[in-house]
Amino acid sequence: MNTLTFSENSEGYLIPSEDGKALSHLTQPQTEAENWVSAQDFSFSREIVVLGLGTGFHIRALKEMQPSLKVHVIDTRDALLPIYRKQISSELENYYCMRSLEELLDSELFTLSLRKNLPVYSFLPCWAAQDDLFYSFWKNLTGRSLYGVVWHFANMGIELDERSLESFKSQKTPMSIKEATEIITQNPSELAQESRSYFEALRELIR
Amino acid sequence: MKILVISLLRLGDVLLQVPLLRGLKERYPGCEIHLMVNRQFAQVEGAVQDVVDKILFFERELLQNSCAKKECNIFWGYERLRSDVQEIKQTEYDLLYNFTHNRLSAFLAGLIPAKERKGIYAIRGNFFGLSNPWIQFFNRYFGAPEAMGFHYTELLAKSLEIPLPYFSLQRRLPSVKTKILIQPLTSDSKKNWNLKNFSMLAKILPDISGCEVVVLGAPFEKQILQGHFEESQLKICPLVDVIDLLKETRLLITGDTSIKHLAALFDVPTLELALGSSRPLQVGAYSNNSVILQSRVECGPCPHSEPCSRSYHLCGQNLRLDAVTTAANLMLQGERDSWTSFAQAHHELNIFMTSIRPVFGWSIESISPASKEYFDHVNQRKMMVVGDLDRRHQEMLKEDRNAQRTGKLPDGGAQATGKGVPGGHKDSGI
Repeated sequence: MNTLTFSENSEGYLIPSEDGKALSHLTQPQTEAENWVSAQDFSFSREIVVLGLGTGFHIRALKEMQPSLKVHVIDTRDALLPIYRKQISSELENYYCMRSLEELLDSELFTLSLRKNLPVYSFLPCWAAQDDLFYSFWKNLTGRSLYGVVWHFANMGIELDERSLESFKSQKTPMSIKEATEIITQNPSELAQESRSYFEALRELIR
Repeated sequence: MKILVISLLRLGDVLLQVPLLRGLKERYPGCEIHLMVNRQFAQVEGAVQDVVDKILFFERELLQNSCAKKECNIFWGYERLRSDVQEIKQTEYDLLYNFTHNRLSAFLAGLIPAKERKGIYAIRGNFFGLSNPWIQFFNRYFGAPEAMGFHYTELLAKSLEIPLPYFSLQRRLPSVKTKILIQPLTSDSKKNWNLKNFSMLAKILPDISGCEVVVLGAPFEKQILQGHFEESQLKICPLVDVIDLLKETRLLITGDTSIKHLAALFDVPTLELALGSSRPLQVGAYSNNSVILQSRVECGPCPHSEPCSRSYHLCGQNLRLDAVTTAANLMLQGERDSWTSFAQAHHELNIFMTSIRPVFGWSIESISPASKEYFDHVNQRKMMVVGDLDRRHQEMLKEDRNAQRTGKLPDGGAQATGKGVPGGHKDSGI
């Protein structure tokens, strides 16, 4: 289990670190958070998922700079929540602590995210020593895992057989619209063939 | 009758297609034309409002971003595209024309129902609309470096069986219009003539012509242009504002830009400075009123997507200020006979004149003695190709009619991996 430690910065804020990696900027977490929010593109949806609670400054910055956004926050460390409540003093309506990928995949949030195709934003400093787990969250929530692709096609009414997925099981890189197109064009079902042109058109856009 | 036209290339391509839209209006009086363009070219609405009844936007950038941006679910684009297509399907179209002629547009054209489709479309992985010999010719030769004598607009019209409106044979006589427009910057620096030369030209022309010179630029070009031109001459504006200006314009001087195609729609005489990767022989102004100056250099025209292969801009340097000034003056005077002596004095240049004639269509005539014979041969060969392709097209139509009588479909479609499927019309030279 990763160890969280806390250090107080010059403004009196407690900045958590995990295995020596700080979960936000040590001296200017507020500025770091505002810069991060300014750099994001929120044109895809007014309901979003954020991976990482960390120190919470980026969540507060989101509320202040994008007040109409509905934000779902996922972290793996329950110990961060009391610190957030004490320091940031801001409501956190939709917080989820997920300690494993299985927990995420079984959750209502996962179903909601994929059903609505919610965009997923990552505040990378607060991934700290749990890069791999947050990365797997990101892949699955954005449809870039085989599981996510299968889920989406099942949601469209298209069942995929195991044999057609064999070549993708060993794929290390995230899935993309290219692989999704390959899967649907090879599926003989009526629904898949009716829908394939949408994916083929999208694939042309990224050639 | 409702007609949907899919036109998903760049701004200049859409402008080059306006004669086809006019052709549709003539062929189907009273028809309603809906034109689908990429959202980022929404400004084209001002240029097509006399022929298009409704503009639809394809959210190209948004969909592209949704596939590429790490925060997006990769299925977001599918849901959005499906929703947009569902909205389009609320309208029942009698005809769907695919002016774009690439795979993306083919997939879209296949998703939207219409009583009849013209141009390529794809359904369940099969491509249709490729049997017209004109489309096959278009696929094979458009984009090739050699001159075939065909303009993009007329090739597309032949491929889609749209008769083009006839232009008057009369060349424009010196008019009472008062402005000379200069568009100095193109989308690619290797197609640009030296700004210092343009600056000198902008100072000389008012004295010799008595006209006001206006230098055009887009907002993002303002800073560069301010360094070379008087503020009083600069007109920084979006495309729609240029249309009003063109109506008062006696002459446009430009590189290979979409403004030259816009000027052609309003029959404005144009002097094109064809440098770098410009290909005036395929995508010059579709006009009866255009003169093209092209440097005769071994390296030109150069490939579209590559930087200049030389350490200095040879084609640009070859095109001298005195040559451009004299050419502009000849156009303003409307003196056709003087072009021959101009060509003899400027062996370093290819000098072309465009015209549009009934039967023959668009042609490019070389005034330069060195290349005149070659282009006469190109134009002769064009007539032979037109005759051959028209004959084959008529045979194909006859077979189609016979097939319809017997119930057999002649165009079974080409498989997605088969031959003849365009990979993408990426380079129209615009």
